[in-house]
Amino acid sequence: MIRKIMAILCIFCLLFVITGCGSTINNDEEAAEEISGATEEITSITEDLNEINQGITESSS
Amino acid sequence: MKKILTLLFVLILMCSSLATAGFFSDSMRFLSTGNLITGGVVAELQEGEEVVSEPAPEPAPEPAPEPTSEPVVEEPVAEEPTQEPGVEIPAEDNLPEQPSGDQQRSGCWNGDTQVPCPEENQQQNNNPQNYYNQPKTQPNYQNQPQYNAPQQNQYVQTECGDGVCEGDEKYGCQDDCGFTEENPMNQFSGDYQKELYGEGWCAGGKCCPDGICDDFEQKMGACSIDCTGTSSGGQYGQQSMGMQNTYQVRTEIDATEALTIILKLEEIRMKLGTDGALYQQIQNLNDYCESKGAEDCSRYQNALEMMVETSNSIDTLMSDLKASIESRGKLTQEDLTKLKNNIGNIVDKGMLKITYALIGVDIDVEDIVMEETYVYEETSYDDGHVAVCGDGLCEPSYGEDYSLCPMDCMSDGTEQIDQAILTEEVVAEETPTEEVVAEETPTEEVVAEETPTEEVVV
Repeated sequence: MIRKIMAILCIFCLLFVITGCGSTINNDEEAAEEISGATEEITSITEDLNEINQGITESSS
Repeated sequence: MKKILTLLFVLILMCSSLATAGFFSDSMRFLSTGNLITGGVVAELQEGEEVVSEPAPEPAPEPAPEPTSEPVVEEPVAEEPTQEPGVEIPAEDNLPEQPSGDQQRSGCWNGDTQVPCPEENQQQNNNPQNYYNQPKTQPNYQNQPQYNAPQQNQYVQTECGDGVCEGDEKYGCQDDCGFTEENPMNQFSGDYQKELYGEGWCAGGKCCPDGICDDFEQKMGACSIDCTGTSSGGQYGQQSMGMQNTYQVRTEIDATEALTIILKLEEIRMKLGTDGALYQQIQNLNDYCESKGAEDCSRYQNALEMMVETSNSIDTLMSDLKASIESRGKLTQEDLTKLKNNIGNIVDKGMLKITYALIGVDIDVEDIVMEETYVYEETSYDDGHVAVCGDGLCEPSYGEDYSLCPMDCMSDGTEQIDQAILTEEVVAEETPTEEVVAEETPTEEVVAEETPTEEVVV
């Protein structure tokens, strides 16, 4: 019985730790990384849009 | 037993509070790198380095004192006052003599004497309001990074003939830009263009290309860049042959390729939407900013709002494209031209604004206007009647056939057969005799043959 309770509590502990470490930004360094990731994503989307635009045009030299 | 449980609860609370404070992430970093400096310390160190490295070395000594408050990045923009809309540019011959080299950058010259530049004019030149060219809703970009990207983009919609040489008009609007050095048309003399476009290529001042599809151009099919979709579209490309690459919109795109474009747009819309990873990233940044409480977090909120607007615009564009494909089974050159402009708008007024919002520029969150592509071709109808695709009526006399509207016109004669089958089925249900049951079998076969037709519709 005690072992079961201990196991459940350990799982809860892990969940708390993972939740606390994973989802939120805790310092400026993580914020900078997040901004960097967002900027890359925006650049990727912009490139995709420009690719679509290039796809509907044809070049003639 | 109770003591153990109490201790465990205390441990849980401690772990959660430490995790919230970011202790474990820093500890993990220490274990892996051996560096005890936490993220906050690193950030402070980085800020300190930035402060030290902020003053940029000046490339050359300048005779006139330069205002120190101006960032170095703004100099190239200030060097190009010719791109400002609404500013009259004197000819090179009439320009006052100016000192060469770096002296041109500093101060203003009136003849041979140098006069001090008024600060207001300098600020107006650097003010992105002039570049943004939106007189009604002008965002406040003063003392902010410049927002002049829409003018740099070649897909900005400009009006040829408004007296302002802007955007890509220098490549195709000699009414505004004339034959400048940047205009590739200066490679050709008037005789060449006359040979290319015919005798009436520039009759009455209506040159090609000038953004106006005049009668001559429409009749002769002589200027594809003006009369989009009404000619073969090859002449403008021939004109620049060997000089530089020119890009023109394809004449048409079939449904398969068009649906691929729509799927790509859907992917982008989902990325930008509220459930997308990018939205969550910026939301996390906003939460972190608000938790600190010291900064102005409106930049992230503006970016989030602009993302929603952009996502909605893409949604509108997709619906419009779907309607065009459903009605015609393809995208015409006119549709593609509008699609190109719309995507350009999304990039210029959506994606760039999101980026500028993230770096702290105070942007105006506004709708991105989408140019509709789905317009019925009323020109082929004489009496004003328009055949509506999807109303269940196949009207071949008004140009509606299987290729244009497969929903209404299933195939040649199939519709009548289907009606006959339906009639037979109703009769069969009303007369429960064995003979009728035997007649149902071929009916089912015919219905089974309909399946590939329906698949084509889908």
